[in-house]
Amino acid sequence: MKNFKIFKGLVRKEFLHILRDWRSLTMLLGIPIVLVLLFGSVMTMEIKDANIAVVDHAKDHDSKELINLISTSEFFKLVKYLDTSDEIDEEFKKGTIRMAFVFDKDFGYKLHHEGHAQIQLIADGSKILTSPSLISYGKIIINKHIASKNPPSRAGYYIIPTVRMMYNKNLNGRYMTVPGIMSTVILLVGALMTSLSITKEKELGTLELLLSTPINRFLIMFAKIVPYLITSFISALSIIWAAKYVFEVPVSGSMGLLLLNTVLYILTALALGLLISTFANSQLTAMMITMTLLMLPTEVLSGMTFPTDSLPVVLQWLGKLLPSTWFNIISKGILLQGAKGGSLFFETAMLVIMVMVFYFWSVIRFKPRLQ
Amino acid sequence: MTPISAENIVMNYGKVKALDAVSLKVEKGELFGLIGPDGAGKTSLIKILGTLLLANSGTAEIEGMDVVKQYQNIRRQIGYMPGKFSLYQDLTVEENLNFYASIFGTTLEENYDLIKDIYKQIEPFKKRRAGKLSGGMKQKLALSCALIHKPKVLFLDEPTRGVDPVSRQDLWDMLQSLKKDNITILVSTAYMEEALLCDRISLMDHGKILATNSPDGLIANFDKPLYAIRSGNSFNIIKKLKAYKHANSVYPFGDWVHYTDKRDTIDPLEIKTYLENNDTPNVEIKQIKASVEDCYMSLTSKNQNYEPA
Amino acid sequence: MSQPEKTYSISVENLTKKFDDFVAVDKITFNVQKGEIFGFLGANGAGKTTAMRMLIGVLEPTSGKGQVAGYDIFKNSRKLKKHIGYMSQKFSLYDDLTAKENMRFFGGIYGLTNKEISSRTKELLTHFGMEHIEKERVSSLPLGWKQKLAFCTALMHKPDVVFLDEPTSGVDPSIRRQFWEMIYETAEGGVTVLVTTHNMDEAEYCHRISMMVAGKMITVDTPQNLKDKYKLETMGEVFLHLARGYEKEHAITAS
Repeated sequence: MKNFKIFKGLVRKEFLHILRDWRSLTMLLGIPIVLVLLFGSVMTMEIKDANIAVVDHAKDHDSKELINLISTSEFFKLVKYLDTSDEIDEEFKKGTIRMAFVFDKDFGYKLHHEGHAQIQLIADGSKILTSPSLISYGKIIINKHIASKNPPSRAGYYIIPTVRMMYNKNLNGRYMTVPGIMSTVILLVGALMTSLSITKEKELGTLELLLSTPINRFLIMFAKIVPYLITSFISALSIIWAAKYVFEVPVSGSMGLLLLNTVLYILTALALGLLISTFANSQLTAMMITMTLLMLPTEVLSGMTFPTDSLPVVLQWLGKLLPSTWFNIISKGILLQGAKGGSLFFETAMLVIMVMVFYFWSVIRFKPRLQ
Repeated sequence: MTPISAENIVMNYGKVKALDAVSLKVEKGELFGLIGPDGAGKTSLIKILGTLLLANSGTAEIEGMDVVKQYQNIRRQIGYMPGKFSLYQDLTVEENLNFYASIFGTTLEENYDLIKDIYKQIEPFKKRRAGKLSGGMKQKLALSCALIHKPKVLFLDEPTRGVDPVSRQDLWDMLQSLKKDNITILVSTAYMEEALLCDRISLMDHGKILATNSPDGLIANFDKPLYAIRSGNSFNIIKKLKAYKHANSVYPFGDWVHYTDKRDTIDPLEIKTYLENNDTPNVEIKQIKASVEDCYMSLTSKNQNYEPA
Repeated sequence: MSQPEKTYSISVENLTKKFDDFVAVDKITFNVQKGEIFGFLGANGAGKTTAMRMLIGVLEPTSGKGQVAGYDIFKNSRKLKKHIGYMSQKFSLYDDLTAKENMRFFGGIYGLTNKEISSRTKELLTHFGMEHIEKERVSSLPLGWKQKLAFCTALMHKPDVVFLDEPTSGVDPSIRRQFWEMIYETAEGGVTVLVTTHNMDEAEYCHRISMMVAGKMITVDTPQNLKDKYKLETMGEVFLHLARGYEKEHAITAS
């Protein structure tokens, strides 16, 4: 009971710091959404009106209907009809197209008689930033089209889009960039908040005075998390809002599940920030550690921009140490594939373990005396 | 139970010996001063006693509790005011006080009596942020925060550092008034004259305690006759006295110069004559009682010249 | 426009500095003669540092007149800086450089030639009995010796006026006296010294002292005259008398 009172006092103090420093507060709340909007639009801008070619071996009603839908969408601009798939390579090399759709000869027939047909989506695998998104948008159009054809009550026929990446065959086009940016920004901002908050107290000498009191270090650390969980959650909400309404990322799964996992992910970021603060004596060092530890590795190793399965095994394992790797899988799973909680159990468990490890490790490293 | 006791404390920072086998005992209710310049080891000693630093060797107890093993219990019983202002500048006076009260599971109202003499001076500004207070008010706030949980022992590290004479006197008045509450106070300072305001003092230099005594006892131990001499121009008189073959020490004190002789007994007239024969007219000379600063300089006279290691 | 008054090293008239509506320095007027040791006293926050910053040309005054070493502090602050030395209590030397390297660096800043730097370094260190610390890293020196060295670096370019901001705070009492002997010798050589201190014993060492309270300069006189005037024994008592008296008289609430 007494500890709870002490804890309340600590949390109140942290809130006052945040409220008093409204400049930092607006930065904390504003910068994430600005970053997401900025990066997101850089990445999606290229996807507007991307030049495409079509190889229509079927030339039937169904293929024409779908080609019409694709070419009138905002993402694609049909610039060429090709006769054979062999010509695609040449067009890629000339740079006239960025993607091609290849329809099988019996497209319409198969669809109506066998219940499924195939479309090949071919993109330039060396354009690692945009090609996955192109493929995703292509798939979305196809899926929407099929959904509109099928009566809602029963699953009728379906189209199997097969993906081919030219020049970089392993590139997995299953993900999109916005959830990746989202996870980087949440991680960075969260870790910065707690690490800066503690190193600031070290710099000002206020921590020395705190240490001279009987206050328990579990409480000091825990009290740093609570207020920033709230500010981070607000900023995460704004990011999710932007993902959904600005970038129109489909939310196929449960929003509640996504928010729950976001809270868990924020906790991981905040606990990581605590840990970083035990290695740094100044705000500058904390900032440098956070940036070097999280910014580049998150972009490279977490599967945000590069497909991880094309990386060396060592780097793949390093990537698994990053919370963002797991949150990427979770967020993309929920957003794009409509994954349920059960199928994400392992990833969620990894985040829970990370929160625990980061938090207790930082408490252990937080010495009750000056060094 | 002795409030503060330390036995052979050694503290090294790399090659530098900050504390060299320091032992100390402070009695209940004493206002005890650690006197010495920067680098004497005052801050290290206070931080070790305040459980904030681990010594390399030696033992220390606060209220009978070991500073290493029982640091958490000790922290309930002590108040600490660091050399640098360490309260939250973005919180108001009131918020800082309430925060420190809450850490100790108490409230401002509960312990108002103990701090009221100090706090009432800054109470009109309780809604002001700590960062916007003047130096003197910051100190009053820091002292109030250090006292909010009724500590038995109070540590103050150079509270008068860089502080003007008015605020300095205010602070010492506050410390004197705390004696009625029977709080044991350990305070450090580089101002020698502040030693007179303590019950007992330790003079420190280069990590060692040179002497521990009451100010009067210390002064009584000054073994040579001390003369204060002046004429119009102090710099001239210093130069002339330093050139005098019998001179032992020559230190300016205000517009006077304090002088001791190598010989045990001297005739002041002889010095006066010497000076007047050397273009120093209007010499006044009188025998005086030593100040703490005289004692300190006589104890450290060997160390005046820095010898590179 | 009045010509520089050659007899005064520092000459200030109604010098004022306002920060928004806060008057940090309020119409101060005083003159300091060549070779004089002038004590700049006052309570914390009374405006000493602000006044000093204006005199060394790093802060532009709001109004008033001022000349230092013959240069107008409004118009010639760049030239002025070449003719003054400044020693601040916080930053003065590089800890990781040796004594000599520090002096070389500061000499270089003032555009001294290598030859001048070498001879001036030797001259100063020998003169003040500090040759033996020439190759010592500053970090290994006791505070008092650091301050003595910092004083030497401030004298490298033979300034006409040196400004010392609390140079002896926390310094060992006997080294502090050595420091003051350095000040005396420097002043006897014709250099004007303006020094701030909270140590009232040191205030007595000054030829004249000024005292600031709440942005105003309430007195400028010799220590002896002040003690006689208020019939007090020490400068410490004079300070308390003046600061307290002024506060009471003007009902200044601490702010």
